[in-house]
Amino acid sequence: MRLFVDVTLSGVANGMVFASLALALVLVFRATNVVNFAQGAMGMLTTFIAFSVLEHGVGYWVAFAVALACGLVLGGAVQLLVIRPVQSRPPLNAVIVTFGLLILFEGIAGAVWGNSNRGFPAAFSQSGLTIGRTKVAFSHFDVFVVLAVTLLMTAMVALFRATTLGLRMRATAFAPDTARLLGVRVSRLLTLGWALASLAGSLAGLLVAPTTSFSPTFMDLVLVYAFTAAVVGGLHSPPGALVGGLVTGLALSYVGGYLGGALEPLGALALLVVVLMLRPEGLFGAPAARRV
Amino acid sequence: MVPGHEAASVGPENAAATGPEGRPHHGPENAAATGPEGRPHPGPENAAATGPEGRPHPGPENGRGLWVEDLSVSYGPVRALQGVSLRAEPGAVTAVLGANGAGKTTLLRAVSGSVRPRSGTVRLGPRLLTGMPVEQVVRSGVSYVPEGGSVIAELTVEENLRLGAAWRFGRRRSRQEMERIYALFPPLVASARRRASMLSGGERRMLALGRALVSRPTLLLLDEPSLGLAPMVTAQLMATLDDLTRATELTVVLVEQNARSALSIARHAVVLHLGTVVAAGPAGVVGADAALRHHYLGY
Amino acid sequence: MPQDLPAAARVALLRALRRFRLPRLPLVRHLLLAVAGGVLLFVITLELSPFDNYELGQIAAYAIAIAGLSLLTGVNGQISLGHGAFMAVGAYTLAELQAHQSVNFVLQLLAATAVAAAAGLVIAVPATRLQGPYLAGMTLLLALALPSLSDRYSSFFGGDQGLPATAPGAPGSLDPQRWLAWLQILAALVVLVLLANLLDSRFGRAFRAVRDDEVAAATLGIHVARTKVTAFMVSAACAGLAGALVALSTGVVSTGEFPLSLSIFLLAGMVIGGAGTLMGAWWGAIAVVYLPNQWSQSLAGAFHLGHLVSANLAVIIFGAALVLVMLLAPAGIQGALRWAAGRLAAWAVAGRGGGNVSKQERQDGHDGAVPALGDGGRPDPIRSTGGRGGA
Repeated sequence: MRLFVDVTLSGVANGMVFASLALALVLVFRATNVVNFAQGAMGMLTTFIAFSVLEHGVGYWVAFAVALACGLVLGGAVQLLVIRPVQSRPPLNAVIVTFGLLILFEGIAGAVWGNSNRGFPAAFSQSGLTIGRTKVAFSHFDVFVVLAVTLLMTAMVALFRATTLGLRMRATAFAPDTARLLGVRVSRLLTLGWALASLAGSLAGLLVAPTTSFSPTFMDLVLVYAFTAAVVGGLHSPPGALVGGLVTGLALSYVGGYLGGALEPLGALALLVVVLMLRPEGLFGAPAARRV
Repeated sequence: MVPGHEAASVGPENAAATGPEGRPHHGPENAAATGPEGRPHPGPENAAATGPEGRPHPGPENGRGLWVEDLSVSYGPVRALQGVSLRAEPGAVTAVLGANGAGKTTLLRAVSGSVRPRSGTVRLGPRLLTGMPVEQVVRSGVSYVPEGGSVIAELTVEENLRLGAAWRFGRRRSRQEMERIYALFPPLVASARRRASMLSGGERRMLALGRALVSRPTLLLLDEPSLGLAPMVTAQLMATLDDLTRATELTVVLVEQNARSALSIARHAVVLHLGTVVAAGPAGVVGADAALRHHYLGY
Repeated sequence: MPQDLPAAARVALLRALRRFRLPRLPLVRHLLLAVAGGVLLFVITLELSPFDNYELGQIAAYAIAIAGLSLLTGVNGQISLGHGAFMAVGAYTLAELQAHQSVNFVLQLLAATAVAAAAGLVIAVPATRLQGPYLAGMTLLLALALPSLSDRYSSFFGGDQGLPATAPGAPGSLDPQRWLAWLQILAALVVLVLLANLLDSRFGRAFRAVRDDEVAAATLGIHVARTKVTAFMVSAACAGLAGALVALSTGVVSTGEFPLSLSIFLLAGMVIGGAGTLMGAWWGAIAVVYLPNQWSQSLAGAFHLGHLVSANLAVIIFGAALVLVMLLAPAGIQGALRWAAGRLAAWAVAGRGGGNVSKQERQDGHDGAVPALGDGGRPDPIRSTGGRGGA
């Protein structure tokens, strides 16, 4: 029983992180029909930037903010310089390009900071909280993770539902040609969409770094888990990213807790295959009609 | 043009007023000419008139409204429009008629900037629209309602309307303009919070039109608004359009296969066939030409 | 094109092009090319040092893997990030077989190929139901799952040091590296001939049809799922064979040899060499073998780059190259060569009036600057009244 509670709690915390990165994938896919496989690597890069900033003695929250800001800029820059030129070509091209970016960013990080494992500081204690007399596998840091991602999602919802800019961005994602006919500057909003997505990815990087061996490849598995989460929820659905994240986080936690950590990737693979076989549009997606 | 009829289609009093393509000359000889409704043609004596926003008239040599000159559009090797010229006056509906494939939709797409013409110019008042990207054309006061209406199904009625107004007005003013549209199309009020995907065909068309009008455009381009609608709904739509055009000095270019309903509210009509203008003139005259109707308009 | 080149040169080139025509039958053509290539490579191996032969052999092995990937992605349109894993399957099969049985090395290679093909079948069944990004994501997950699997079952996978893989002994006093290189090159040529024939056959046509439009292909009677699974299995088999051959070269099989970056390097090699082409697999293989080693070191030395940078230089260059090639020259090196050859042939054939020909073509052609009424008075029934549109 005790194991179950611990595993469930850590599944929730991990799930929130997956949700954040999954949201990034969903935002980009919804607007531009591209899965940005480099999203994890971009988050890694901005986390390393935060690492450097911290090494210069700056406060944690400043470094945090710097990483998020860099995420915005990096996302916009990638869309502008690399993705825009391939938008008109077959989608396979864009996928391949994002893989190129993935290893490029990992190489750059390795060249600047080295490939060995380091430690990334956490803002809060990572030892389990004590509730009553028992210690649970949910730390202050985990609370922070849940709160941070919740805050991000709330902010995104507020942006998309309550502001005119958000309305324009949704229109751009749903019907870019019609949006143009309504005076919406679609190209600029696509860049902004990538920038915001990258912000979510940067947050994910900052939340994962303290919990694992911090090296240029530390986001690889997180990315594929987030991809699984996005597929589970539906690649077009932001709320699906949250639900998918939690589902994936819990599922992997159970696999890891009861069957051993080494089997987690296989568990994710199994989850992915099952979803793609049974309900490829995801929990929140609408089944796509086959256009003949 | 059906051989043997070219002299009879337009009455002798207008003969001097039209050029080789059927375009009305701008100049003093039009000052006295009147269209079927008896309203005076805009000419130099209207130069001082101001638009609904109180903006001063840009200049006598350009006039207001739409000027399309010698427009040619190709889709790869296919020549969709060749040397099309057209004049649409403010405060009037100009109908563009013709069979399928005549190039009517291409004309609207070229005017709106959705497709780049190979040659020719499009002018709205003094402003040259050719070469501008779509978003910029729209922000110059052009609203284009493509075939089928194209409302954004995932957004609510309210959101669709707000989007139409957003490029021009802030929150409060948008709200006012949206109220105006609701007054114009009462059935939309009940569905305001509903997703556009749940509306009926007629309601969707209303929404598309309302969304086009909410930003108070100078030029309205409509591509087959009556397509797929019941005759009564079509009649209502046309009536609303007619009232609106007269009241607001809006320039309307109405593309229709349903020539009859279009001609009923149009002041001028242009007939396209295989990408060129084969007839142009006052709506009543074009509608009265039986041979023309048979050959190009199908009734 | 320079106009001042002597006409004699142009004529000579034209004659050469006309005389040099490959035989019609695809199999014969492929065999001839393979034999010619084989002879050339054989001669080269005689001149190279053992280390260079070692690398040449590896190039041949990677060419097999990249050719298989090219078939899957370039010709059949299915993207796979997991081919490093299939190479691992082949390599581990070889190593396990060597550890537990004593079998002829040819059988070892065949076994590696077969097991990899079987693995390809297992993955293909769910994979071929997926489109673009979904398939990419799934194969990516596969590539990442492998290392963690080996951590768990380390007895089977040989733990950190991995399993040994011994190359077959060279007969007589032949240099062992040269002998192994010959075997690898022979294997590559055999596989490439087989692949070339496959691509020229109805299978190849089916692959392309499915890539271009699955629904249309189905209406033509092509069994889409079966075609995709076949392509997947063939490419997995190639990767497995390549993995076994590389293992014979390196002598060790461990999961450290098959990181995610290997899969992406294969993809990059395919794209840079020219996706969908078999010659492109050679260019890609050259890049995959030389870039992480010689070329990185040379560049690092030339620019006095630090240790950290030089260790990551290959990854940076491959990543950047992948992005740039997709943006600027998606057809890769082989595509560029074909384009250049085409221009050369066109220049030779066109002769003096070369420049004018193309301009003429442009005038008559699709952009059609010629208006309907202007071209020699072609009668237009609608316009017969002189264009007075119903005035």
